Amino acid sequence: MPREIPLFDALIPTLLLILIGSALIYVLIDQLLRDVDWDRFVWHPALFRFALFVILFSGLGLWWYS
Amino acid sequence: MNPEPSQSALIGRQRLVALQNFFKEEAASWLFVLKTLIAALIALWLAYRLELESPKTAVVTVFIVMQARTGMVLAKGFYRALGTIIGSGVALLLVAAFAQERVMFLIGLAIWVGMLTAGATIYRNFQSYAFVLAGYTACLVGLPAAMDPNAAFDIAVTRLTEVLLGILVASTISGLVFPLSIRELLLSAALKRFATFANSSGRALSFGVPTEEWGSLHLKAINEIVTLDSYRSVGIFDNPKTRLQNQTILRMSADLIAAASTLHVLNRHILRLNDPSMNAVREALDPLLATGVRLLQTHVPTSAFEAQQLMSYIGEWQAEIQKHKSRILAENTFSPEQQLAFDTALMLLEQFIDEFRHYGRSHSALQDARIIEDDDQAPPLIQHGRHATDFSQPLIAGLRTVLMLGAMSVFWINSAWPTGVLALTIAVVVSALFSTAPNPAKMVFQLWQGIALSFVAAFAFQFMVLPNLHGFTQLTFGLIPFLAFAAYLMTRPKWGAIGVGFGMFFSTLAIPDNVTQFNYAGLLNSGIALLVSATIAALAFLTVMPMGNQLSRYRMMRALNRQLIVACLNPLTGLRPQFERDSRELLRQIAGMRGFNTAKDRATLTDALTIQELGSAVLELRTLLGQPHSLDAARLSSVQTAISALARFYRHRNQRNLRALRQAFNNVIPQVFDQVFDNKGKEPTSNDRKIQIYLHLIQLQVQAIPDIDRPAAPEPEVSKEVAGYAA
Repeated sequence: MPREIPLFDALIPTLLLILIGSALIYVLIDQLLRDVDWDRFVWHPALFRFALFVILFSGLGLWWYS
Repeated sequence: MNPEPSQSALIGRQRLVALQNFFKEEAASWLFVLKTLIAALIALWLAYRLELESPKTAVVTVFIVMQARTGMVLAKGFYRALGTIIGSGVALLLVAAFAQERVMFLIGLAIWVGMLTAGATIYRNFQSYAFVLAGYTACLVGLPAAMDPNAAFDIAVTRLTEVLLGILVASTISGLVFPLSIRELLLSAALKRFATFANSSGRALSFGVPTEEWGSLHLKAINEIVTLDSYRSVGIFDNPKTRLQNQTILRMSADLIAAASTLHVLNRHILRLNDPSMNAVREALDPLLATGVRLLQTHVPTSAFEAQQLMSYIGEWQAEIQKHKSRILAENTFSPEQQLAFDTALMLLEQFIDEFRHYGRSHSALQDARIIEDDDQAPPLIQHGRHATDFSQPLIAGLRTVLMLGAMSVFWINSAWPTGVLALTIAVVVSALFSTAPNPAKMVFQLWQGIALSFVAAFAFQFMVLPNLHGFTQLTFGLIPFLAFAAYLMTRPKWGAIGVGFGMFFSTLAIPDNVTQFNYAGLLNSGIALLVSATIAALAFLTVMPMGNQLSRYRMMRALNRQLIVACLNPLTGLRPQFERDSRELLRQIAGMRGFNTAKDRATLTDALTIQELGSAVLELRTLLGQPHSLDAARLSSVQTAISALARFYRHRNQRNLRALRQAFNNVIPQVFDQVFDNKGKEPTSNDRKIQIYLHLIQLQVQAIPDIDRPAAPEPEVSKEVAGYAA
């Protein structure tokens, strides 16, 4: 898998695109979860969110580079 | 019966409570220290791992951004990132344009920084901070980049990376490790405001609060509302619940200000009733007031529940007044003058209770995290985080920075000072950072102390500690005592600026780059440059149009006068909240100026309170004139003439206009009286009576305005207040 992708002739690290992608997915999931008022079931909402993002990002990154 | 607790047991209990409070406070402080340390060290480690140019920048950023509440960190971080990005962009632009022309480059930089420093005084809260940052980041990136134009882009990118890393780490840690929401702080501040308001209304209703004391209460209230608003602006970055509360807080502040402005007019009126000629009115009012005064003075709400309880009692009181007022009116026979005074008091009282209940309702909605649905009032106008000010204020702030930058540049160029870049940068940083503080010179002096301390500490660290350390873990242990000391100082409000200075500059001076260099001469040079630049910044604040100079005072007072003109002449839609907000904001800025406590300033404060009262009354009057009433065209035009005479007087305050103003009101009062007495057979419609009451209130206030050409007689204000009726 390419480590860098040329975007308008500038080399952009693929990881950056993955970061942006996972941030978008994260926002989407967060919106969906907010509708069901999920933070009643979670002890530490901020930690939950952070972990969710880390899982998304590292999952996507590992999948891309494996 | 309980035995009386012995004296020593009481003292023991008091000590226990004090000790508990102490530990509660200490625990919060140490939690903050812990979070700051974790964030700083993680940022440092990451910066080393990523092999950034100067890892210290990440640590410095952590120290700047770190605050007790998560929302505050996120807000500050967000605006800091914004400011840094814009500033770096502008720096690159400047380097690209003037790489060879250092004079042109410095002029361009000075203009940019001056403009943004000016912008920072117009906006409030963290928006203002973003302006400051965009200004000085341009300096921070631009100066080193101009020294080495080929590496300019790299310098900008590295700087940006380091700052963003620091922000990211600080936000994450503050959000994850024992996060503290701004919500409790907001709620307790709101409750405190409510309790204070209830208490001072109790005092105002019983015998009136003397003007001078009322002025300081008024200022305290304004400042508390501003604090609430700053919490609100941070709340947007807090959890989603606080985000939803935004509208409720705005609503509560608007209700509070409405109630407070009526209370302000009512207080002045009750003071006038203390005049002996008004004894009958006072006695007739007492039974109506007694319940409320007792309620407000004995129930000091310490919880949201108690606040709600108080409001339900107030509701009962309102019903009681409704029931008894016609009986009391029938029982008493007043002279027309007394009758007017009584009606005025009653109307204001009823209006006040009504508004107070609105405020109570929106306050409890905030406490219970409810959202008020029925919007019978337009939401208040607090937009874009901008606040009213006179344009002289941003102009002075901008010019001061430009002058300082210019003077230091000339010195730097002519002396070829090796650390001139650092000195120039830090001077700009310091003067921009504190340009919005109420007493910048004092803050800079504290910062100076922090720098001096950090200079000594950095020497100790580099000479004695650093040579013995190997690897990151040992570096961590070497740094912890110093960083913890800085973080602990930051939790003390008294030494906050020392703490920030120590944290920032200790990190700048002492933390080694990726390739450790022991450069004692360099350290000495940098330290001296820092001290010199902070001194020059302090000197600039003290000498170039210092805060509270005659010109700004004059300009701000004029801006306040203009508020009243606006209240008299502008179209009415949305005018009332705008007037209440802007006039308060201006008063807050005037009172925040350095050395605000001389006799002349107290006169200013009285003047400002008069403007507040006149403005509220005029706005009410104008609203009433827009509603159905039975004034004929001639009388209506004489009222209009009086209002424009008021505006004219506040445009040019001279004796001629004052005489014209008094004349106008002396003409209009008997006319409107005539009409009401003409209609004596029929019950005057209540709007007519209200118009008369507001005219009467304005006239009393107008008569109390001291003459202009006579040098202001040292007559105590209270007696003048009472003289409203005696005259």
